[in-house]
Amino acid sequence: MEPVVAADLHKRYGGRSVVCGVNLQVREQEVFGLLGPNGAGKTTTLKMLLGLTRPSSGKAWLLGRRPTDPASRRELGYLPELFRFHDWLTGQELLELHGTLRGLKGAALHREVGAALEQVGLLGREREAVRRYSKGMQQRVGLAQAILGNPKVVFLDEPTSALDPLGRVRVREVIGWLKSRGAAVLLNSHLLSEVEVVCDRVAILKGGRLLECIDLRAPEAEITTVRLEVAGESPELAAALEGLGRITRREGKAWWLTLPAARIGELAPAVLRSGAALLALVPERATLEERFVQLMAASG
Amino acid sequence: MTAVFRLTFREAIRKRFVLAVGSLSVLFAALFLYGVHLQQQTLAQRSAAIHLRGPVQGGGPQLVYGFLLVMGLYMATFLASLVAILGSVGTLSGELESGTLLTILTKPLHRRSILLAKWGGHLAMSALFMALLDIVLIGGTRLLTGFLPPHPWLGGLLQELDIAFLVTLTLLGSTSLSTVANGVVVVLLYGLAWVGGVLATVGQLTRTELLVHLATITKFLLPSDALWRGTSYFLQSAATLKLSRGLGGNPLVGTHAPAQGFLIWAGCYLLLLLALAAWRLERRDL
Repeated sequence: MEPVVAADLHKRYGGRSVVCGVNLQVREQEVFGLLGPNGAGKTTTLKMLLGLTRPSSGKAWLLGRRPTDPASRRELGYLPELFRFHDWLTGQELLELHGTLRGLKGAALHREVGAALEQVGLLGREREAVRRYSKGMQQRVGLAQAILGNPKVVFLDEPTSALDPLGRVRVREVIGWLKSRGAAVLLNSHLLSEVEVVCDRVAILKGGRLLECIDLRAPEAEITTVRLEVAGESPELAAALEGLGRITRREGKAWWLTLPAARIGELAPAVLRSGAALLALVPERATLEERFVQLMAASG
Repeated sequence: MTAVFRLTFREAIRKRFVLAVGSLSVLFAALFLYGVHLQQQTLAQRSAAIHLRGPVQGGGPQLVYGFLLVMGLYMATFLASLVAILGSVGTLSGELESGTLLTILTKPLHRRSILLAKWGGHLAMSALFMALLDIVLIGGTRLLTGFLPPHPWLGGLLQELDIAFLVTLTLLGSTSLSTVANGVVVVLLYGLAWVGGVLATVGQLTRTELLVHLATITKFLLPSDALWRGTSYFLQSAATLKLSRGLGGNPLVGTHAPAQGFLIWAGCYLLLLLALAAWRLERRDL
């Protein structure tokens, strides 16, 4: 079984549905992104997978067990969006507390705390009280507690919201390090450019429903934007292009079209068949942000 | 679990809760013992004035010292009750509101284990505070006047049961209510229990059955005041009890031994509230 599985998860508060039938699986050694506008149900889905919230119906599994079973959380790391900790503890004490609660002790605890501090770049600052840390440092110590003891599954909810660009790079490195050790990482982030760089797959949620699951590493599934420059267009051109994809923009002789990457080869013959002359054909890979916006627009 | 238990003590020390409560308690104990000392001096001067050899002995001074000590312990119990309530009022709700508990609850532990560890930590801290106050007040009075209440251990045990009840009730509230709402609710319930105790005395004095019934219901639902009355019964001498009974009762202290059935109920009720708190936290969506 995959490390994280959601099967037809529903959550209702009163009469209001917050999550409606979400199905997803996060594989080993995979970074999985959860995307969606505010109120899409991302955090509720995450909390159901963590066992913090009970689903109204449907089931979730964490490392083969139900998330309400404490044994399922033995190999789990979690950084919440509102990263608030016992800030009267020092960084070292905070990590020792979380390590102890994870079941680490003695030399192993000491070693893991040191390794986690080094990973997030806080080595040398561990004797300071957490309340004296900057917001970015607090987020990094939060990340350190999430990766303590090499967990097999790590949930990161907006892990870079308080970080500067260098801090974000470090988080990307940590996520890469977790993946290289075989961990499954579930990332909830609003920064689509960041998600695009680090995630293998993303699920896009809206209104509690999963709209699409995109494999960012599969070129055959890639939706591409192509810019065409055409002379002597005829009425048949638009119909021919719409048969291959979706016209998103037009300026003078230039047309922008989104279509599956596999169909790019059909474009030039279609233009020529319509009687127009093809001046240029430039593939422009659609960014995740563009695809996200298109998906949001298409879903109403 | 022991890590969470220790964390409760550590937090109280680091956040200067121990320092603040400790300093004010020292002030309270010093003021009380100074009062006892002045009273003892006054009685000694009076005995010298009427040419008695040595300090006044017998029923009179024992009544005075007994009364002083019971009133001192009444205040001490009140202070310890406030420490028990206010010390644990935000232990779950505050941490849930701020989010600090989310990372703890995703560790491989049952929620009930975390609740039990927190309950144990707050109970140990409040019970220790109560015991220290008792030792200082009873021991100090003994040193200054030679007076020792008849059953200090039994009285102390009931006081600790009272403190345990308040910690448990506060923790239960903390699983469902916000910190402020929980604090207000528990302090009001504590006050209600006190009113119930006063109503019982008035009802018995005026033989008003309805008042007595109301007070009995309050006693079983909120046993804190009745437990104090049980405590105070064991701290009073036979002469003090006889005097109070002769006056038709005392609205602040007990004049009869607590019924065994009531004590069993109070213990079971406490465990029931604790189980309810654990169940509530286990079921709660966060």
